[in-house]
Amino acid sequence: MNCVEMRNVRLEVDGHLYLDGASLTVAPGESVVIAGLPGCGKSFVPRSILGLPGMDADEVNLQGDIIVAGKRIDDLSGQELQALRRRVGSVMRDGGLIENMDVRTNVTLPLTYHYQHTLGPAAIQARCDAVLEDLQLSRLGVPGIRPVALNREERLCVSLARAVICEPFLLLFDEPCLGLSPGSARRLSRFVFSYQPTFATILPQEQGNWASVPTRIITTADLGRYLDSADRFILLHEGRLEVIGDRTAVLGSNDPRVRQLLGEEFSPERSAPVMTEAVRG
Amino acid sequence: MGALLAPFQALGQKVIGSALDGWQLLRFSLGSVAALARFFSRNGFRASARVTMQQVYFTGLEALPFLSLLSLLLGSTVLIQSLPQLQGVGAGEFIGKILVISIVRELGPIITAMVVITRSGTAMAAEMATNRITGQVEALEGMGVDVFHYLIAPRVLGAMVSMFCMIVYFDVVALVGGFLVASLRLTMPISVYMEQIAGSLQPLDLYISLSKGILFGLVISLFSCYHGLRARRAPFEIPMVARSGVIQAMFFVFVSSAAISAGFYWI
Repeated sequence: MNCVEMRNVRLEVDGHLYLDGASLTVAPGESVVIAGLPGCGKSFVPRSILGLPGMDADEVNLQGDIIVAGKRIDDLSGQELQALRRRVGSVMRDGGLIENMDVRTNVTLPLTYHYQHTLGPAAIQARCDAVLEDLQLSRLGVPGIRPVALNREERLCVSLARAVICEPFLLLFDEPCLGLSPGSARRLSRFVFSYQPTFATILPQEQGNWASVPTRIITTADLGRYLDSADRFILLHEGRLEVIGDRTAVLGSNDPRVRQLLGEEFSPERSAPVMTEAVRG
Repeated sequence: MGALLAPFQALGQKVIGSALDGWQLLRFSLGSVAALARFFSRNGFRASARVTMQQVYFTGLEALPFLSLLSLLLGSTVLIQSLPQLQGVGAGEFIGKILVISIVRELGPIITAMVVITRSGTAMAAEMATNRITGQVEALEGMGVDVFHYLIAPRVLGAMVSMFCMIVYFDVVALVGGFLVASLRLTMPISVYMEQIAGSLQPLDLYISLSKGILFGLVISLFSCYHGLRARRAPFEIPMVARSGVIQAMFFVFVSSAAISAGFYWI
């Protein structure tokens, strides 16, 4: 069974068509990057998977099938959707931190809300400590530090900590490295693809036999950043999701849209002289 | 012809817009009441209970100094203005009845509601609008948090509990504290005064006062949260939605206060 499946999805938000016949299948444990130019509607893919296609819109028209963990999102009741979402981690563009809570309360919020009666406060705090330490954020775990005091990288890392604390089977990232310095983006990108916490306590099993590694879906306009990390790359163009393939397929692609998203760094014209210089040296 | 019809079209659009707005508010209110009904369900109860306690603290406890001042001033003013007049015509024994009707039934709930609207109603609307605009509501939804259960119900419950307690507090401080302040000028013994208040206070007065308190708490928090969550995209919407919430809540408070008083009067 696929972890995520989109079949012929059409999404119109406030009169603007963002997805038009979009289809996608993501296998359990796979890391998929969805690339597209700014404004093409990439953010609507993870939002639609979460069942939140247009929270800030006046008019949303969604057609087609979005299936997560074998369940069609449209068929789920409010409670079923909430039960599904609590095992899906998401890091939205600005982190989506709750501003009137300190960092620790933000990170523990999903556990406090969903699992306090099964885990207990001590286990929740232990999980929080473990995640913050792994992400090198222990200094932010002191009570009283609010999100407003964090820089962008820290906000996104705290958001990532909150996303993984419930051991999600699916992680959704919307442009996680946008606006970060190259060093920060590299560091965060490493966490996005490889970080998987281990906890002493066990959460109740809800989703069946999924891969031990969570499935990851990342949207970006900077395709080159994730070339070495993701399993598969998909292009969003004019509302359709077109599979490019793996890293080799992306680098070998002559599609001008793919070359545009890769940027000059990966252009054949630029790499040739560099190679020549290296050979000469 | 088109120019002649334009005002009617504008009026029609306004009426349809108001009807749709009313329908949305009704749906929101029903959703909030349903969330209140499942408030004590196991999942998320403790997290929501913490928000409720915070709301009681911000709405109720933090407002007490200001409310104390208002109730003292109001109680003493009503006493100083009315008692000499009544004593002048030999009707001093009616002071209890007048105070119970004016303060316990009418002014207590209304003035407490005004304090809650101006302090907490605006704060709730602005907070909800900020939550919406900065993507915090979306983040909560994305975590599987029931927004009605976690954001709205605790505020509604907190406002209702706070209003109930604040009205009791207002009445006691206005009646007792007001008399102590007014006794600087007045010549009525406190024992006589307390006897008259106790003799005039009927269970019906308490029902009217406290039912108004619970209703006002419900309405102020619902209107504030509803308008706050209507904000969509930009921070400039925050004062606009806060204003809408305050105006609607104020309007409803005055109209329903009059309706409740009239209803109980005829009963």
